[in-house]
Amino acid sequence: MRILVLEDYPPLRSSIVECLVEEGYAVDSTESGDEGLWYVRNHVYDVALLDIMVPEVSGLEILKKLRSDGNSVPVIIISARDTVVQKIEGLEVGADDYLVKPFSLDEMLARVRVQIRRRNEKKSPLISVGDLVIDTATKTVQRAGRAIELTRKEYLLLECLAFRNGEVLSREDIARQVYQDYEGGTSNVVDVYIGYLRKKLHIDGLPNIIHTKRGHGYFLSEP
Amino acid sequence: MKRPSIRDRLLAWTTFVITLIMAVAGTLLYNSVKRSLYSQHDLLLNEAATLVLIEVKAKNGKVHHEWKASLDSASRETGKSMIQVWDLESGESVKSATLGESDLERQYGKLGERVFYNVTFPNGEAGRAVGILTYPVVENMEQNEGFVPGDHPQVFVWADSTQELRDVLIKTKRAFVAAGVAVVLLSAIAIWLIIYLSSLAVQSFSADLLSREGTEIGEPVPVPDRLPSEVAGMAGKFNALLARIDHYREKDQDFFLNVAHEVRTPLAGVKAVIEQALRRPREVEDYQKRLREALDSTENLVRLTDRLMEFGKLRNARESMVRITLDLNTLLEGVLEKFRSRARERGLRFKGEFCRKAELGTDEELLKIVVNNLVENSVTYAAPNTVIELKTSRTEGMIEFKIQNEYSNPEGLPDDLDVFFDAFYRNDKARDLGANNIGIGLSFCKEVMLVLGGQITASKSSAHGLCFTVSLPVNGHAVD
Repeated sequence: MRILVLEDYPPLRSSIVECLVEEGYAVDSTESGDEGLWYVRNHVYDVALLDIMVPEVSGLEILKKLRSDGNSVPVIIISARDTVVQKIEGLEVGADDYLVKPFSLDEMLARVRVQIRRRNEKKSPLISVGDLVIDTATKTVQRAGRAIELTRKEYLLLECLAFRNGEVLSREDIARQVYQDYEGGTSNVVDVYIGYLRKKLHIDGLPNIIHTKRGHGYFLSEP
Repeated sequence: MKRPSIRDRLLAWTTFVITLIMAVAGTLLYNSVKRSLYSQHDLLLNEAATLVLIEVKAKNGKVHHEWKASLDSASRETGKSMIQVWDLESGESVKSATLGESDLERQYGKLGERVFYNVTFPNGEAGRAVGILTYPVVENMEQNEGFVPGDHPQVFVWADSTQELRDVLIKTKRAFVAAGVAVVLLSAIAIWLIIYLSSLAVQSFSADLLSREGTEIGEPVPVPDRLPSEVAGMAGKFNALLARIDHYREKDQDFFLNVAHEVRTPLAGVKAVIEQALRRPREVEDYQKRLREALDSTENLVRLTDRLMEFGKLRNARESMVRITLDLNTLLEGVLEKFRSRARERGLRFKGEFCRKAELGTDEELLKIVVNNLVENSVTYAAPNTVIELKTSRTEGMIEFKIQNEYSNPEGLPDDLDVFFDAFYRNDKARDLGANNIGIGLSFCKEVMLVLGGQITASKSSAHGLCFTVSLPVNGHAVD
């Protein structure tokens, strides 16, 4: 899952970014409205956290431009402007949520998760693909009723495939969603992690659940 | 203190003026009636006297008073008229019987002339008399041979009681007084009613005002159509005042919202840094790094609150001002020196044009705040590699300081330059607390200039040229 953070106050920005990265999200961040607009127009994000009062182009302006471009990326406004009028203004321009500063990082994470679920049309934190159940709230995985231990990266990769159940994702797509510092290239790190995942999910002779579409990428579906 | 009431004053003064007019008019009218009645009475007196006068005759060489017998019998019945005739030659007099031992007062003029005057009868009644100098009538010269009328001048005095006349005048006076009192009372009632009816709209308007809630201050008071024009004008001015108050309230509200906003961001920074630090166990160095970040944010908060405190203290600064005579050019050079290296880093150059005599009486510390802010803003926001022009000049009673530079924002200058003096206005709406730009500097300058009795304005010198002008009274006192 990739997230954009636009915040011009350095201590706050670095804390938000670090918190999201620790939660396993890939994060791009900037303090400038111009750069923020460029990022969001040229990358695919699962959520964008936008501050309103930033240099050059305000968060609200970026949001307006995104919506007029037809970009539906979920946007959470993070702002110190806390009046009802200001919140309404933000939501009416097209924000999906509004978080007033100062806020708890846990609350921010919860809201980010809600937006990701909503974007992927999942009302419950549980994602089921056949006998595979992923709990996105507790970040745990079960197959045929048995818990499976996954590393952070393995979990993120599986979650990424599960959210787009049945959709083929290229190596680059997966890498961009999972790796914080991915800058393109042909690294086979995704293939390696897919291999690990397949091994862990292949318990008691259960059939393979992660499939390869040669020349395109990987997808998750019932055997 | 009891406030005077317009209604009571109007009622009292109008009643007083009407009473005065009625009193003067009544007195004049009464005197005119009195004069007229007396004049008529004198006319009748004269007619009667003229008729009786011919009854003082010369008979057989002596003065004979034919009037006496008939008058005495008539006077006995009425007792109203009395006559006394003096022979000036002999000094003797003949008089009505009703006079008894008393004499009438004697006044007379030239021969035949009628002299009217007031008399008092022996019974104490007031009367009116006419005195005439005359000669006895000589009807038959043959019977009065040797009688020369000129040798027997007679003073004829006829007096009549004026009691009836006085009774009429007393009645007239009473009627006048009653009419006057009635007019005054009716007028007072009519005026009171007019004032009361006219003030109903005012009372309802004032009740509307009193029933307003504190939250309705900004809303104009509805002015009813029936409200008198004088009060409606006042209500209009009151509404304009309300609008102004509302404007300032909104500004104050914006100020506090902005303060809250500016405080929240560093606070959010502190909270996020601490929360993130506590999310998992860390190395000591890592904790120290995060604590330093939190400390930086709290220092920003401290700086912000310090400026806000200074801002608040300015309200009382007038009392604590220390006015000295200083040279603005010297002060300016000191401030420029402070910012010279920062200006150099941005490729900025100062160009000064200072007047010869720039001494003024003012508070040095407060003025330094203004000059510091203006120079710092120029150094921060001027387009790189441009010139910052500074100029001081002296006009009658005033010293002026201008600072002008090319504005760095590519969007150009805002239409309304007064926004620069709004608290928390920033040229790019960015937050840059690290560089001390809290956004209240110019707003602060405006407050300072008010305290110093001067003013600060912003103007455009070209499409991107921004000029701030500071005007200060030389003697430290505000000039109207």
